[in-house]
Amino acid sequence: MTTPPMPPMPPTGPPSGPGGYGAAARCAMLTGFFVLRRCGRPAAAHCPSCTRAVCPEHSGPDALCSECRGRLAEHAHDPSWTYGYRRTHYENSSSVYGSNTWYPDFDQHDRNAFEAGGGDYGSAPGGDDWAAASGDHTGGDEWDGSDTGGDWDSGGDGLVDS
Amino acid sequence: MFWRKQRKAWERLHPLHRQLAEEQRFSATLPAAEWAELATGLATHDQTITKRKWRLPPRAASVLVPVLRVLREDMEPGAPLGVTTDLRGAVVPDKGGELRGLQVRPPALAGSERFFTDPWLLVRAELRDGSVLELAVVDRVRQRRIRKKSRSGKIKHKVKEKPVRVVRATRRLPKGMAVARPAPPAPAWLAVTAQQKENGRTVLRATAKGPAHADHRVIELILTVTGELFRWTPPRRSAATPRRAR
Ligand SMILES: [Zn+2]
Ligand SMILES: [Zn+2]
Repeated sequence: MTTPPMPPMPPTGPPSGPGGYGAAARCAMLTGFFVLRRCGRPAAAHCPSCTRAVCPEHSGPDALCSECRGRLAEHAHDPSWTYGYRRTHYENSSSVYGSNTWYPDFDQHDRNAFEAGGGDYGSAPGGDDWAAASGDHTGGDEWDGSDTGGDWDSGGDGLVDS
Repeated sequence: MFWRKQRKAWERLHPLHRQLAEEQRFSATLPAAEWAELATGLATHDQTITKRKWRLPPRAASVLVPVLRVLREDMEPGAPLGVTTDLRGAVVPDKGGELRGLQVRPPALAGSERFFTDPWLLVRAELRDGSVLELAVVDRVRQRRIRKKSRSGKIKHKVKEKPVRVVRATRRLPKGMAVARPAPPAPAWLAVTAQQKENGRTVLRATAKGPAHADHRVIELILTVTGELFRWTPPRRSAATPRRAR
């Protein structure tokens, strides 16, 4: 496994404006586990590890952002564990689905948008939905739920013992 | 002195926390933020409480805490989260079905079979995207008791247990939320259905059934089964990258 490339270092003089590192910067943390959203609250600091702007809630006592702290958290005992485990989970999912495009793709998409300086996450808090999904949803597929069920599409909670 | 401190620490715990230690089960609906506090308490239990009598069942730390942490991330602080958990284990009298006799051959002298159904984790969460998520983890254990005569003529009793685990996640989408069958499809062991209801809502359901793995793998399984339901709702594209026309 190779580590993803570090994002570029911020310029020395903080640029202003949405998505920049100046006074108007918004927290860049990606919140949620399945329902992913940009935090978007006003940022108060920069993470010394990944350099992203973070709000007080997502900045720990060591100034590390939730995602960087989460990477170090080995156990759910640590509240930032979800941030690290989210990555592990999406990577595991890639092996479940035989596709390695899921989280990394999303991450890249996310980073591109961030670097482009804008778009959705100026609107705090919350902003846009970032539902995690594999790359290409062209839609149009017919689905009626009839072809995947087998034993399991009964609505009740009765177990089938077979 | 020490025990007085323990007693004080114990009394400060959330009532559900104490109930879990004393009865190995609870059922409640609370705001998501309160569950998060409870999770923190459960996670640090061993640091404050050492009394054997007040020990938590292992699944509190290995399953309950991570589930509460993950759900909290996807919920508004005040949104209702219902959790019913029973960590007494599957083989307890009130979870057992009828005792059936088994036909046996020598050297077995007699045999019986009983199934235990143990829904040990049931969750209902209103998520911040407007969908409602329900989780169920149910263990079903087949217990067989055989009485047999060994070569030396001694009568021996043998008990065999075979546990099967079902993890099911159901997600009721808000009205009008678009659904698309994801690619690649879910693996064969993960059965998925999408049902369009008359009220304009879609109900997604994913179920995995298999041998009951060690508890540290349950959380992975729960999250994989749940995650499948989120692959069915495509991400909203921003204005800069409009969805491709069909
Ligand atoms: Zn960081
Ligand atoms: Zn934030």
